[in-house]
Amino acid sequence: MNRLFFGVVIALLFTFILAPTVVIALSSFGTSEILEFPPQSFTLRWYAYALARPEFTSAAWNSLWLAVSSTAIATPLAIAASLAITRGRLPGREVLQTILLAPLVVPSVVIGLAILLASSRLGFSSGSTRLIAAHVLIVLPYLVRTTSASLVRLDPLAEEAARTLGANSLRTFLHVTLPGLAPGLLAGMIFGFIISFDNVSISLFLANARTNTLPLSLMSYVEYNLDPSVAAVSTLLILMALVVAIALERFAGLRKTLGA
Amino acid sequence: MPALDIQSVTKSYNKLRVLDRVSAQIDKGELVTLLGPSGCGKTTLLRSIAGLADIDEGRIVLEGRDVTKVPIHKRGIAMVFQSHALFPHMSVADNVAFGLKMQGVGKAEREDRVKRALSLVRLDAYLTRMPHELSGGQQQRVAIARAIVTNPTALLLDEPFGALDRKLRETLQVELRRLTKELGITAIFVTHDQEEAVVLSDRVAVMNAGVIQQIAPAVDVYENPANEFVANFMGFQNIFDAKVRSAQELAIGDTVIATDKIDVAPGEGIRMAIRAERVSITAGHREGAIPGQVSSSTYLGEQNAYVVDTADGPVTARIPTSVARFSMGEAVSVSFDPAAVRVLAS
Repeated sequence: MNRLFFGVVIALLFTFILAPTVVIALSSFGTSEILEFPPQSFTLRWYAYALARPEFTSAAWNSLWLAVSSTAIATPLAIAASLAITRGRLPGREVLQTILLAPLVVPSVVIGLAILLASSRLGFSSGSTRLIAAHVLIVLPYLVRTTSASLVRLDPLAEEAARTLGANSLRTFLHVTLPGLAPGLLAGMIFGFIISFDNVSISLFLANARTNTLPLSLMSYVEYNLDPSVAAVSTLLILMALVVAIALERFAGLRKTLGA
Repeated sequence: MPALDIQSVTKSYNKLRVLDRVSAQIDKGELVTLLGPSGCGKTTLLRSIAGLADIDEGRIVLEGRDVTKVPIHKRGIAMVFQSHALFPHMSVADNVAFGLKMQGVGKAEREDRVKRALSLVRLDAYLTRMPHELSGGQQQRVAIARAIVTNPTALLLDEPFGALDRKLRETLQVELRRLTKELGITAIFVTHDQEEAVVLSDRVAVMNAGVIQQIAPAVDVYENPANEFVANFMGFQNIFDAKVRSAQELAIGDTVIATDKIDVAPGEGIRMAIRAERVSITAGHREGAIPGQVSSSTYLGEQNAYVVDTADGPVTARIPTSVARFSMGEAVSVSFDPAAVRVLAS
């Protein structure tokens, strides 16, 4: 009885989590001109349609470029910050940690608006630089969090042992510290990439016509159109996240990376 | 020329002096333990030799080379830590090969030396294992192999067996001693365990408050402590005030006891020490013995430990159960083996 009850609860929970995804994926194959579920007949033409639309493809390239560069900039910063927070004897490192993690708790609309106002006031309005800086800010907490978690589990004496065995500080970092924090770093980079790629609220304030991102162009597209091409793009995004998760599980072990 | 020459090394943390003009010479192939309670400066001294801690004053000379200002990785030492500090993402073989790789030793020679080092610690069958697949004792043996494979000028060990159980610790002590003697490695071993120090070392340096109190062969430290701290730390249970009566007599309170030759002028007040094993108890009163009453008795198997309350303070004695037994409150007198009475420098 008890087992049956929990079985039902778990099934409902999974349905609740997965159903929207399934609905979107299935409707992307529908032949009808407007989104319908369940679709009457199937076609791939919305995928071809979406991939041929420059507003989607150029936005996708923008998003990709933005996610890659903001993650790439945030990664060395996160390594340095994690080292300072967990290893250093820096005064006020708890405050530093709180500040670095703050973008997780501050609503991102506030962050977007704040950066817009501050950068205009400072006369700093280059679209893409500002956008990247903002994305670095929201990606950083994820990287710092996962990297510090890995670093805490790394015995600092292992680094001292490497030093006594003839490794200078650079080689100690490359051979001992970096491999030790690689799982957390990798997980953080993937989280960061997805967070940046999916972000709407901050890009909304800071993107312009040239730096329009994919989530933004999807949003503006659905304001006037309701054909399944939006579902097709969404399905591609879901697929991308799935591939990344599977790759992470394969190469690093998702559970291990998340520290479970 | 000593292998390691520590010259008047001084170090303070926040105005607290943790090393106070420490000097010592250690010969090539010698195994010296730094023994003392926690906070005595022994680990700081070891870390200073390694270069992991900077010193304020003094010099550290390794095989004739002043390394005081030389960075850690250029000192040619190797260190073994209490937590094995193995590299978790590397196999046993890669861990041991690390130091050789840093020295730029070629692959063929590296593999050869790694195998030899691992066979010295009897782990040749574990080359491809990961550290977390090994037991605590095996991990520490890998750490030792990783350290000795580089032919260090000095092998520094910071309580390496502290986390292991007693039996394993004893096995590894014997192995480590055999290994350093076979290879002629100069080794410095930090511990707070007197027994470990006595078993392992050629010489023991007893430290307290940032100063080496005594550095001498294990037998000397154990039998002829230089001062009250060393006597206490090396397990002399009985330490008293006494007055020198003559070259072979001491007075403790009103009792005059016989001793071996004393080099202190008659009339001087001194501190004397004697181990509980060298105290004997007889029933009733006796000339040349201190009268008292048995106030506690603890059964230790082969021996009984008694505390006898006397006018000059409690005296601890260990009497083999086969020799005699005394009951609580019994009136007895305690006497000391003259050859075992030690006069402590003040």
